[in-house]
Amino acid sequence: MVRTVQLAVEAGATVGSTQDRDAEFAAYMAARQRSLLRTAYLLTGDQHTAEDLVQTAFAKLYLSWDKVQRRELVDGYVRRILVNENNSLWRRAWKRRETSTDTVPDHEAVTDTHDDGMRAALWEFVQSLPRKQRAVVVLRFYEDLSEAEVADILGISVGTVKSQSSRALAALRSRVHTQPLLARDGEEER
Amino acid sequence: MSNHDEKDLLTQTLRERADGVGGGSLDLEAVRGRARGIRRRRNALRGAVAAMVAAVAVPGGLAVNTALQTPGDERPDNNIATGTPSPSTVEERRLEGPTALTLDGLPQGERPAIPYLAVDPADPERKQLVTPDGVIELDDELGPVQAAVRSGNGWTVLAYPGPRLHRLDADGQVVGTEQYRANEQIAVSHDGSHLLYVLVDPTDDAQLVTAAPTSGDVEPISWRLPARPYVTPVGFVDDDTAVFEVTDMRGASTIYTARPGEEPQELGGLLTATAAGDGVVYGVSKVDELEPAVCSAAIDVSSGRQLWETCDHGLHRGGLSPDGQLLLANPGYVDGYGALSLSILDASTGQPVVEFDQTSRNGQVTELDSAWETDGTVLSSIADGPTFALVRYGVEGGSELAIEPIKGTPFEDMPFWLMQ
Repeated sequence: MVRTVQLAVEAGATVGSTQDRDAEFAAYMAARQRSLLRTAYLLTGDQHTAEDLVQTAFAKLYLSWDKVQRRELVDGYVRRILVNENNSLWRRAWKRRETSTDTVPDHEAVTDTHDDGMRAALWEFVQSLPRKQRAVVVLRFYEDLSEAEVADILGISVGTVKSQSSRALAALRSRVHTQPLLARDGEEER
Repeated sequence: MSNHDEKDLLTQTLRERADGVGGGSLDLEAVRGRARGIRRRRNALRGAVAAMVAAVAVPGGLAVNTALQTPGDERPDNNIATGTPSPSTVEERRLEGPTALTLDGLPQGERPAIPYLAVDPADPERKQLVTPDGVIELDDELGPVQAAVRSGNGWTVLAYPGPRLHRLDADGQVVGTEQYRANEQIAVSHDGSHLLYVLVDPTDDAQLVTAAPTSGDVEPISWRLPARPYVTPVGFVDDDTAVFEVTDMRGASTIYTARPGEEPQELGGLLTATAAGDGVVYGVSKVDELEPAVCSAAIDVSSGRQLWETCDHGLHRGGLSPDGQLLLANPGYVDGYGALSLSILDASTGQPVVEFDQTSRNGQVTELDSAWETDGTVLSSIADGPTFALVRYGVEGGSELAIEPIKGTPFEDMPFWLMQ
């Protein structure tokens, strides 16, 4: 997983012309786009919403590009935009309106070729988590960020990150007891 | 299955799901196009807010950054902008314009008059509930605290693990604990007289939306709901009518009003509710997909009629002032670092009374959380880079420090949390 991106200019270098600025931004976007899309997909559960989320995050980053002086913090900054956008009241309301007015089901781009029931059940479990808890799970277990980094991105305490992760794992454990398929496959997996 | 196995399973599932995600064909032009739209909207918003605030008449209008009234001072009854002020009052009560959202040069004011949680960065397990009456050391057994509300002679505290609802006596000792549900919130009526929270029914797979007065011996009342949907307590439109929001697993919300002994009634007109008081529920009414940004509205509960709607602001959750006349709001845009301005709206019209904005267009001062302290003052936790502070803002436009700024690092925990 790409964690740090080599930018076109040295960290802290003065941004030159608009052309240089755009070239620098485009290089960053090209390097991070796929990774951010994956994270957005895990946060939202559908590709259409994820692509829209990433585009908005990049657009807001573009507007703030000159303000983000320390380039090593850009990844954290854009992740925070992504999560804030996804958690925001208006994004949720927007999604609600979409789902309530659009009768065509969302296109599901992902086909889980390895799915033997257990993975689908786990994915369903992830999708059932409350929005903030799901963000904690994605950032901790997929992005492999530290608890402090997750806390910073979500604007919550480190203690809350710990408790939300524990809650998610406890819920998963509870599912294991109520869904024999999940438990059996989980055992097989090990 | 061990904790370690569960983490591995989750990580593997997430990676497999993510690996299957294709696309990623965004080009710079598409991003710049959306950025232009966002910038246009922001500029329009800034212009609109500045023009509206300048045109609003506020009695005793203070110059930018003038001293704040002492908390507890009475705000004149006609202090709220009406949108159509009487001609005789306009000249002497004109507001100068947006007030700075900054930590620079703020005078030191009184200590906060509402509780906040102080966390020692060197020892995150140590938590102090700082109240106007003194500091309460919270029990080590309490994990992260989500809310703490004065209740009777003690406190009602929502904390992890659990979450659980703890009853604390005046000294902070736990005297009772119940299993909690809901989205980590306790709603308090805007006048502080009632609490609304959600408990797990110990005898059944259900949850109890529970309303209780903060003083006296009146028994709590509850409404029983199925266990699965997430319930967010919103508040009260009067002493007998609670408001809460139910969100299904797809993220769709429905708002209900509930009276004792009656089935909850669905309330239309809002996509999500943020506050309630005096017969009115406030919240998000529409969405601009470009940002996306919100339109906010007020719905009269008895008639279901929309009282006003504005597309310039998004309302704070629980942001109705104690006297029910003002609302906290942010612009319809939230940056990666948080809200870049704080607004106070007239609850009867949705029009801004005062706006606290960046001192420069390149500013990174952000408002992280806010709560009403009195009818005329708001406390906000403000971050300016690695510096955190609690700042008091006045409806007249003044601002001052409520506690001394604390230096941290970008990845450090917030040192204090507003608890109301």
